[in-house]
Amino acid sequence: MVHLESITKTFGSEVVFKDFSYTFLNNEKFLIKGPNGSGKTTLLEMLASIVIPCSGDIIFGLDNYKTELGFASSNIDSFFPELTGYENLKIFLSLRNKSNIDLDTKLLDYSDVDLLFLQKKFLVYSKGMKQKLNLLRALIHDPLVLICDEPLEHLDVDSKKFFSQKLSRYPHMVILASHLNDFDQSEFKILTLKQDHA
Amino acid sequence: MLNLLLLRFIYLDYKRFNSSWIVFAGQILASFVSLFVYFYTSKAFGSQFSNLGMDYFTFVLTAEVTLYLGGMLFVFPLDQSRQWIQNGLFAYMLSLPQSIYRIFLMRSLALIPRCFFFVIIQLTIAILFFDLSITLKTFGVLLIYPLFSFLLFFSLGIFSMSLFLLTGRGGASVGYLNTILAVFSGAYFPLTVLPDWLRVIGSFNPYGTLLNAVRKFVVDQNLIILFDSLIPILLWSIALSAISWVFLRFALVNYRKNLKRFTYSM
Repeated sequence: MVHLESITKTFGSEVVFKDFSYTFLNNEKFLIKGPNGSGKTTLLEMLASIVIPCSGDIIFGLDNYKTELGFASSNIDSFFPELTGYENLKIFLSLRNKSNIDLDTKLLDYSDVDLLFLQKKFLVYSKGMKQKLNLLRALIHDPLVLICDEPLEHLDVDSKKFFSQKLSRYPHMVILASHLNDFDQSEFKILTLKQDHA
Repeated sequence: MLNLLLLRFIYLDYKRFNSSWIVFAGQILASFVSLFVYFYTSKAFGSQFSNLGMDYFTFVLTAEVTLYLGGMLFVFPLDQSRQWIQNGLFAYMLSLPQSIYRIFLMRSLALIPRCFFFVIIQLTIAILFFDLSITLKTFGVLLIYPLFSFLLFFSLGIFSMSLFLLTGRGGASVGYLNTILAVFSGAYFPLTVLPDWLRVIGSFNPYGTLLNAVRKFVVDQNLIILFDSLIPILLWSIALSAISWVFLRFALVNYRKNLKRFTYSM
């Protein structure tokens, strides 16, 4: 469970959230929708413990929340450019305190997606490859809380279909932000953020 | 688990700085050229430095290899954080269970093999091409002793990174500060030639504390001198690590509050 209690978040004079409360329950899936600038990314970054609110509380219902978190950032460049995709996944498993996970075995679950790109240096990746790596980084350790910002952006048709199904059927808590209609919305609780920050 | 992370960061550092043989060869050539300049400066003005206990070439070379690790540690956290902020990795790291302090500690520890390598290269070039004559014991001290100042210089690096996180500025000034500290440690000329008031400023310099001990050892070959200098280095380390740790926490709170608003000057 992750509970937001009376969150207010401003950037300068711009109010993004005002006295906002919401509870994300375990094993449920949430789809956050809203127009550009409505605060989807800010909300996800608060849930990922990156951004802190100006006031209010965020209660994370897990002791080792950050270890059990999988986060696909909206910034698909957030990797070590000197390393290959595979080496990046290895280093992020270590940083997530999950280095005991057998990466090769885990990658077998993703055999429906073309993973040859993992052997190339991140520096030469296309946007689609970066997004796939971004999703693999979030999913590979089977997190109890999965947070993804625009997860299907830049993906080709086959990958989009694969990851859309993967996220829709994910057995633990999923919180997605997307303005695309690529998800089976019946699987998700919809949370719509308005431009006026109500 | 942390050891594995350290190994991965050592590999990352290897990939980053040995991306091509041209970069590698360029670094070796730069070492050779700087030693060439020091060697012939020493030959030209040798008699002027006869009261140092060593020739000018050894005097400067001792400073170069002793301060190599410290200089890198001082500048590295800021340089690395600038790159990671630019590509979004720094923000992502805030979502990880490892603290930013620990990640930068591991990443900085991973610089040690590269430092060892370049100190060995520098000393080997000096021995093979510029008639440097040092004992095996001195070679070992020049290689190992700077490690005792790791925490001190790492803390200085974290402190400057924190300043950058707080203000969004300061990238270039850390480079200048590093050069000023190196110059006023007596790296390139003895501090005795300075006016009294500048010498006083120079004496509060951690680079100087480290360098004086190593130079005294090179002349006297007495390990006790090194042990004696460990106390001020340890005191500097404890004080600066506590200050930088608190300062980083403060800077990170500010960064996390203003993530979207801040434009970091790269």
